Amino acid sequence: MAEVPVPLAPERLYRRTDPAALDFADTSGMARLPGLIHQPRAREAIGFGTCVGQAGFNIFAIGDAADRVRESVRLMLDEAALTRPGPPDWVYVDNFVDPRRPRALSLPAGRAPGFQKAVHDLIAELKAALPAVFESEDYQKRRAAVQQGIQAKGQAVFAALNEKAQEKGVAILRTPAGFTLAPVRDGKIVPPADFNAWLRDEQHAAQQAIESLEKDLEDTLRGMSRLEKETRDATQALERDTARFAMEHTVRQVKAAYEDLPGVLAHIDAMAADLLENIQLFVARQEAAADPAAIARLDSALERYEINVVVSQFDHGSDAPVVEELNPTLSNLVGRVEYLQSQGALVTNFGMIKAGALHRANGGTLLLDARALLSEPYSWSALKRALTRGEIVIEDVTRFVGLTATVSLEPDPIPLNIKIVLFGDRNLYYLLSSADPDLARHFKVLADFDDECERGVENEMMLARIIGGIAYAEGLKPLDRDAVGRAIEHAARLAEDQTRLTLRVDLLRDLLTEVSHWAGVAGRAVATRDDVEHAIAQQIARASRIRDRGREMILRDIALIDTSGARVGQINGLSVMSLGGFAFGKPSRITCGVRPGAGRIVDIEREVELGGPLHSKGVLILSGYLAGRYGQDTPISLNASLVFEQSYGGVDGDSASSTELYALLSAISEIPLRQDIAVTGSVNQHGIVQAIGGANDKIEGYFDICAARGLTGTQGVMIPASNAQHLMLRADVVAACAAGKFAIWPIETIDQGMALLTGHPMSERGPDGGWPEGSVNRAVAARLKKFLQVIKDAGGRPDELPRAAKP
Amino acid sequence: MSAPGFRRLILELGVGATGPSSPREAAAFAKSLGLELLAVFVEDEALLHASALPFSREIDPVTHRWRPLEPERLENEMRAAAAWARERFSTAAKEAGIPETFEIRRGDPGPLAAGLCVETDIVAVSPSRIGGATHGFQRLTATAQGSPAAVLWLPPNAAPRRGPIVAAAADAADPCIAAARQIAERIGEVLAVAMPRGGDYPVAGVSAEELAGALNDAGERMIALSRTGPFGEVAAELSARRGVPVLVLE
Repeated sequence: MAEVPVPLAPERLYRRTDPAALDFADTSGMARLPGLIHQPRAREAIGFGTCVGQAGFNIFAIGDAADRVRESVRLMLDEAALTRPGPPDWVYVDNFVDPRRPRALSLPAGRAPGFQKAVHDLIAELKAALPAVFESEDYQKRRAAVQQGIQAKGQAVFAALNEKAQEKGVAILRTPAGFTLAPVRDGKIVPPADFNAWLRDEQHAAQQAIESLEKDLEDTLRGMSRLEKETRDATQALERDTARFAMEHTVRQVKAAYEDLPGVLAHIDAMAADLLENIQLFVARQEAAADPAAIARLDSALERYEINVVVSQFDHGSDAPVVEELNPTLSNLVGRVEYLQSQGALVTNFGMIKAGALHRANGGTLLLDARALLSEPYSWSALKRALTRGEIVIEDVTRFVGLTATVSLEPDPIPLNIKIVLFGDRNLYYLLSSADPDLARHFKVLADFDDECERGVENEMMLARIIGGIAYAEGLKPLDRDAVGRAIEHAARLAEDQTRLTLRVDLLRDLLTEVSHWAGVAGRAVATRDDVEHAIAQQIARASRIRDRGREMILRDIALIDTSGARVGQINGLSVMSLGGFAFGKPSRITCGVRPGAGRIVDIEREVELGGPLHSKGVLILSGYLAGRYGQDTPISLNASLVFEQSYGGVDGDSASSTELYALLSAISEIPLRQDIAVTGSVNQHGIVQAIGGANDKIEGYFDICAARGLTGTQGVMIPASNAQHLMLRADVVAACAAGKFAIWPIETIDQGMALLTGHPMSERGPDGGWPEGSVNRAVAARLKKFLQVIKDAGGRPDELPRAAKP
Repeated sequence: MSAPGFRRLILELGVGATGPSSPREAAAFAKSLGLELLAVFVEDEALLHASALPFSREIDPVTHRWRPLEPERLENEMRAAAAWARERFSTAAKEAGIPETFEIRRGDPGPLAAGLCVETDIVAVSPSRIGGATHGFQRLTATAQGSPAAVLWLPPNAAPRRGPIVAAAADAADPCIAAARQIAERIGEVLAVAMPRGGDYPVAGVSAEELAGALNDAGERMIALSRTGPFGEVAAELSARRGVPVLVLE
């Protein structure tokens, strides 16, 4: 016969930290622990992933909280980066042959800004020097000589033509749009009236002379066009020669610093050649000096010679970069080409190419929040494309959606050598891995972070150092030993386990921040245990409006929960509500009704689609329990209905299945259940009570109702015995238990629970196969027998009775 | 106060100032000497006569295509040319910061210009390579040379610069020296006197090439010479060769 269980001793309700195990007075000066703490599996995975250089060995780090994973990974990657060489710098330069395709140049780490400055200075120097050269007496003389020589030819030709025309009595006249020929006499153009008065032969001769001179004039003008071109060519050649000579020394000086970089030297040569082709950009500066708009246009044209440093290690030392992109839009990831509006058009050039995270992290490591990455259109696909190609191609998002209405650039792709580390929660990883086969191709290394660790002296000390390190790093007030002890206990509560500690550093950091605040309010330089308690209480208080409203409904008897007396087929169940990261226990009345029937138990929650599958499973297990215990020799001839009273939301989980079984047995046996006890625990078909989650919240939820009504000394909570190790209850609950005003009973079997709830033993079958007098089992069996008889009296078989509803 | 006794610069814009930068150079010159600036656009009457001849046609110097020279169209194009010349001239005067006067007249450019000129005037002319040989330009320059005014030859595409005022003198008594001195003092430059052959000149005078070579690397800002001296016939060519204005004095 199962004995009535004994309440748990107060020391089993909460495990305090042993202050003697903490070898410090307070956390002042306690440095942050380096690297990953107590994450051997994840550490090994990340170490492996960062060492393997082959494609696809990128890392997906998962854990309970993405933020904690991110921080931990970052610490380790920063350490690893110290041992890896820095990647090269990258610049974009004008492709002087095809400006739409800017060229990418690589320079050794940190040298790009110097190159940029050298070229900028070169252009600035040429802007000052070349106009001076072209204004010099020497140049002017040479140009005048070149032009004069050619122009003199033209003048001579035209003068000869003029002389020939004069000999023939014809004059060359300038019209507004060209030239014409007309007869001349006595040095004057012959007026039409005079010409008409001439003899026909004279007129004919004049016309013939003009016709023949027209041909000469045409030839002369053609010759003049050639001379014009000859003049331009000669002038340009002179300009180029002059400029080449003027530039030679300066350009050579710039090249001298990059003799080890053939690509850079080739660019400088190309730039110098282009400068000579466009020397007017410098020459015209003097003429445009008084016109700011013209100078701006010339300066704008000279921007083609500048260097766009896309990424440089100049400011980052010689270590491999570790970059985190918090907003991985497509353009933030692969870079973008920006535009300027100019007279209604969008214009761009290589100088408006902006680096993305892939550029900045190239040669190192890029951390990305998987959820943020997947939330951005095109980013995940673009990342995969970059990894597949092994190069960064700047992609314009407007092209994807067909919005591009302007000519854009196609910059040279930049070779990609990078380690990508995605971090996120486990569910996301599992979802993505099932939906996208490319994940396994590109992220071969899984770093799975443990969320908890064993609680022992060593790990308590480890956590104490984490706490001290956080306080130090965040500039918070140090904590004394007791305060640290309380924070460790809170870590166990967060782990929902006396024997484990959470590794959710993010939650501890939040707590410590509040602790520091409250210590400051209290005027303490070092935070104490009271500050920790206060901070925890404040955290709860801020989030507990819904919980308090629920309690108020119960205390005002709007939500019906009895905390005294006994009822048939009625019991106090316990559930946990989790809202916005705050969880609390909520008592619920569960009732059961029975009648003769075909042996089915109706889950009303399920019928109205408020019950989840796990809850339905728990209810169905009850049928198995009944059949196993009472249906061995006779059919189970009842229908039962179970309901969470006043429950208007969804119910899931099987943690109420033992509770429902108690209500069912009470309803069948008509033996009342104590209402001063609340129950939680799942049950299997053999009546063994099994562990559930949220035991602490559930106990505290019921305790608060009882305490508000006044503790009677008989009240308490039945929990699965296997949950006793998870208890980290509030101090007031523990104190009430220690004072005998409240009790926590560890329950192993339904028999134990029924004995406690009814005061009647369940009992084993006697030698005659029957149940002992006064036992719950006997009462259940007798009632079932009655139901069977009712059915038989009605002339039917139990399995032929109409069903109330399908399960 | 103007120097040397000049009061006005006259720029003929119809046939006389064909160089693209001549209005600006003329305005700068006028400002430096404190002269009034008058621009005259002469609608060449001879051209209008020529257009009335039945066989007259004109050639476009760019496309080398011929088309009939129609009087009505010619009138329109002359008005357009005058408007454009006025705009160029006005812009140049504003840049120089001097007041300007612009007139449009119709007639023979030579007599018209001669009728305008007095001793205290300077007539600025700027031949282009091909415009210099045209009937109108030759009429203008011939008349200007014969007028009491001085003639200023402006080179095509000259860049403004500082330097001495060179008097290309036949001898020490050449009046161009005094005029050049006054101009140099007025504009803050030094005077340089060049006498290429020391007064021993052939009857035919000295060629522009020789004179330009004699000036060598003087770096002059302007050359002044006497119309009646041995260099009077080479002013236009000298201006083009040296790339500076040449002032031919009566």
